Amino acid sequence: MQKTALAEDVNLSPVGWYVGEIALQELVEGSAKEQDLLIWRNTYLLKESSRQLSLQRLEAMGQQEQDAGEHTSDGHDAEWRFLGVSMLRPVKELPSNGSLLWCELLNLSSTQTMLTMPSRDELGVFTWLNRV
Amino acid sequence: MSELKGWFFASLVFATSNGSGDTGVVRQYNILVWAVDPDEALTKAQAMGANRSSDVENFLGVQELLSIDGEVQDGVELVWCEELWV
Repeated sequence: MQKTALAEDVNLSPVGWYVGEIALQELVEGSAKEQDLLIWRNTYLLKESSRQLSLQRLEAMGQQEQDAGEHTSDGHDAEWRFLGVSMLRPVKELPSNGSLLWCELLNLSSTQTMLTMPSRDELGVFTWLNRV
Repeated sequence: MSELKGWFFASLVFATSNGSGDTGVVRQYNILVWAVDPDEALTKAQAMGANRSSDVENFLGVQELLSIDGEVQDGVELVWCEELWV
């Protein structure tokens, strides 16, 4: 009984926030890459009282994307297929400047990590700004 | 770059040790940063990492920095999205 309670606590955010990711497949009509799968992973910060409610909210958001109908992608008709919730974690600290969302251990050595540290221009925001 | 004033997501990585010089696992802290542009966000993230460095956690650097699309306080906002061809 006590073990269950502890296990539940791991999934409960002490501040009532969760970070979750939904996976969507974009089906683009007539795309040159039609044989390949185009997957989008959208990440959201959610203010919710429990992990279960966050999960339900993410599922509803994914379903809403799928039900929205056609959109245009690079001039081609396209639609979304909701694949599922691909990540959900409790947020550790109330979102504010410098606050910790979550912490994880990586399956890497420090040497490997140092060798693969990205440069400024390889970080996501700068890659996006420098796109052509 | 001023249009990116606001919230950023940053991943800071640290090498952990047991205090005897033995290196252990790599720990990643995923944090929020508020800044007027991406360069300020990077500077702030690096400073936060350096400040957190200790005998048992050695700051290796900023592994990711992403702009958040929206106001965090609103409760549900798209934080970032990633496109993958598989």
